[in-house]
Amino acid sequence: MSVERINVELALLQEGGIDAEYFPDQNAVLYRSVPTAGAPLNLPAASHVAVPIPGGYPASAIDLGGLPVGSPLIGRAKGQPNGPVITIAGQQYQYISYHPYQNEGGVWDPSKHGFHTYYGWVLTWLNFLK
Amino acid sequence: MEAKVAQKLHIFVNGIKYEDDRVKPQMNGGEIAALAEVPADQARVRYDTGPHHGEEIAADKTIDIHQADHFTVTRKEVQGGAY
Repeated sequence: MSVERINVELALLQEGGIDAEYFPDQNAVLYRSVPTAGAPLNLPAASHVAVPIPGGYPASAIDLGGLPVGSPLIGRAKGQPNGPVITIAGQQYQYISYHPYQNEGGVWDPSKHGFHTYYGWVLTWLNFLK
Repeated sequence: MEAKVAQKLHIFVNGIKYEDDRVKPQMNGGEIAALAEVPADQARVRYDTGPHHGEEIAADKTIDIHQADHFTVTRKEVQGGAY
């Protein structure tokens, strides 16, 4: 895993005004205030999303999305709770089984994909709520 | 005397800056989606800034591009993961 690589990827998003931060102790990236399609459903219109750094990254594809424990989006966004609960800055996050590179047709290419492009997958995920 | 250097036209799609030759003064929704590697027929493209914020841009609709415009590109469906 390359700490420098992850920070470069997140800097690309930060230039575009996206609040994203790497937390090495939790082995995760946190996207803050990701917009959702929740407002018409009386659900949060935005949510923080934690994403784990996969083992062997960047050779391994990024996977999963973590929502705040207790979030009403859990069960409304696709996927089931999957994996550990982690704590970032005092907030617990439950990973959810969202797999863009297994189910969504994404083809992982470590030469051009990373946490900067995964943000787009997270946007798609939270734009589909039941 | 201070020389003015023309800034290359750039836009942001899903937070990522694009300023290569694919960014043009006029683009359609499909071309914007292509920057985010989403096929036009699977993409939902929306303005993320400006007076049209939130409005959807059809794949075949051509719009004027302004410097540092922001767009969101998502897919039309999520296949993976059961509820």
